[in-house]
Amino acid sequence: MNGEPLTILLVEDNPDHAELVMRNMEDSQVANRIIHVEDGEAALDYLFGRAGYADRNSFPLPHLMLLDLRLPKIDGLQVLKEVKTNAALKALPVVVLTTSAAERDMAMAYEYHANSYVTKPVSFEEFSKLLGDLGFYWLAWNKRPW
Amino acid sequence: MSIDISLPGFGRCRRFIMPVVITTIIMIIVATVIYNALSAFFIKDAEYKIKNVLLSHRGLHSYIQKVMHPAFYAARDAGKVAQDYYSPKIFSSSYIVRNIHSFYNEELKKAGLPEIYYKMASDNPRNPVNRADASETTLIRMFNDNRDITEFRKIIMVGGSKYLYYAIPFLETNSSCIRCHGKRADAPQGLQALYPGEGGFNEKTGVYRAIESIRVPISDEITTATVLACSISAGFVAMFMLFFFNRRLKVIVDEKTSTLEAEVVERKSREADLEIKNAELERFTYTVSHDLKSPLITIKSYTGSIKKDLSSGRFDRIEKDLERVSAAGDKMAVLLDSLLELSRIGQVIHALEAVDMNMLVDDAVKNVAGLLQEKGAKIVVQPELPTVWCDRQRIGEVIQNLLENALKYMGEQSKPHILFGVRREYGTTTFFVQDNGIGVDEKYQQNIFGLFNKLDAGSVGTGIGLALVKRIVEVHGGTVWVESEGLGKGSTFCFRLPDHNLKETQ
Repeated sequence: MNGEPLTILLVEDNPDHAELVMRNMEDSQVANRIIHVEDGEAALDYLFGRAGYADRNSFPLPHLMLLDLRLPKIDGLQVLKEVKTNAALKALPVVVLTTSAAERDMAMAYEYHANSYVTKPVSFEEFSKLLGDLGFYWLAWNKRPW
Repeated sequence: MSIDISLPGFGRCRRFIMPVVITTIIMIIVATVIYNALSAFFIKDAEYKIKNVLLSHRGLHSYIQKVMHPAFYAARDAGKVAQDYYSPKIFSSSYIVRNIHSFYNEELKKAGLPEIYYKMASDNPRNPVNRADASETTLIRMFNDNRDITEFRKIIMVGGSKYLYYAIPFLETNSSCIRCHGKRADAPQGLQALYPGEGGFNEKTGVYRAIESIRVPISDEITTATVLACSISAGFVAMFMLFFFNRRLKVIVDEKTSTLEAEVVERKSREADLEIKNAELERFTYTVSHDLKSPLITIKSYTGSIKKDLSSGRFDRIEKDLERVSAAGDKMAVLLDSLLELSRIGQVIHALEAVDMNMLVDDAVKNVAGLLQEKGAKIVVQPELPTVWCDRQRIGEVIQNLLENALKYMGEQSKPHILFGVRREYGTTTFFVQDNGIGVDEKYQQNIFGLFNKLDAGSVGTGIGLALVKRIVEVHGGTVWVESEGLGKGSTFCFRLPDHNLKETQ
């Protein structure tokens, strides 16, 4: 940790799950900042700096995106596809964090170049461990693109 | 609605009348033409043969007159024969030819050929066998009056059989004929002695004093012509019938083919339907597993979190977390109920009945009265809605769900207003629920009816209501859609039932 501000963009429509993720992330103290949006449209608006997210000082580009798949308005796979086909954004590590264990979802996520695909564990302990490990790996061990 | 009154058997029978009539007409025409042509040919042929015989006889007459008589007279003048010698066997060409002809007939008989009837007829004969009958007398006069006519032919009936009768005039009487056919007193003594009376005398030069006639049976030829005409026309009929039946067969085969093709098309459409249903089911299973697992994660994780908080003495968020767990449990219960409901719709559709839509809408409005009061909204129902054939309970659910949906997504609208109405356009009848709430962005108008598709994560509701509406309307064979000019512009949810479900109000 070199004191550089690290940001996670959490795209999650279930407020309970979002709270769970944020709680665990705060506990593990890897990220300085977690930004939570509730649907795919808001996620893309944030990433592309549209609709009130234009100011990069207040809304910096994230270093990691945790992306749920079933989202209102624009679904997670579509968000993933747009990020990974955008020259400026495609290096952003995207971890799909979803309830779905459907093979089709996983195949599509990798097809669109998801960096990782993780299903939400049912037990609290596993959830905590997973988020701790995720944060540590992607924000500490992994060489970040920016 | 019209009723098809034509019976299949009748139609088939009628289809056969025309070809049969046409075939019969063709057969008659063909047979007549062929019969006539063949008869003409055979008669011409028979005529040619008998004309040959007659001409040959005439040649004989000429020989007797021009060669035999002068030779005999020369011999008589030379004193080799008595001056008054006469014998019809040497002098009478009619006698000679008649007798030659009977020898000829004998030869024909021996050769197994039919005999040919020959007669020389005169109205002034020496020998009564040559006496002309009435019709022959008429013919002699006709040939004398019309010198350009050289022959006569007619088909006559003798003893019930058909014969070709053919006649030509005898040689014109000339000066040498007069020697025996002039005045009786001038004729040779032998001749006068042999033939008493005036028969054969007093003839004048330049006239036809007789005709020669022949008749041959032509029954065989007629029979042959008839048989040939019938066979050929039968052949034509057979060909025509073959052509006709071939065409009928082609029609039947074409009908069968198009039936089969229609079946294939229908099966393909069923397969496509099934594919859509399968895809729907797959989506359904997927959504169910996802949306049921989601509250499960909440329950399990927060229970774990609470345990941890309890052991670490952190009590500030326990109550809030317990609420989350409880709410997640409730949500699972609601989801399970709704899913059960949704899965039933395809199977349980009550008997269709004539439903007064005004009454149905009024009931639905009563059911949402609580929510209506809470939102301070006003609902207007268009009067005189049509009566519809439908499952009363299910369509009631559709209306209630649409009203609830409109009330739930009013947003910040200070004067919430809902209109239930009907519109008729392009011959169809569409019911609609129009609100002045938050509206639906064009992008989401398609998938808003999908199961658990909520546009707003924070909103109330399970995401099942509109899926339910879609399912019920589609089970009725209808369609459902939303019209909205965009966010903040209100929305109009429409459903249309098939036309045959509509029963206009009296």
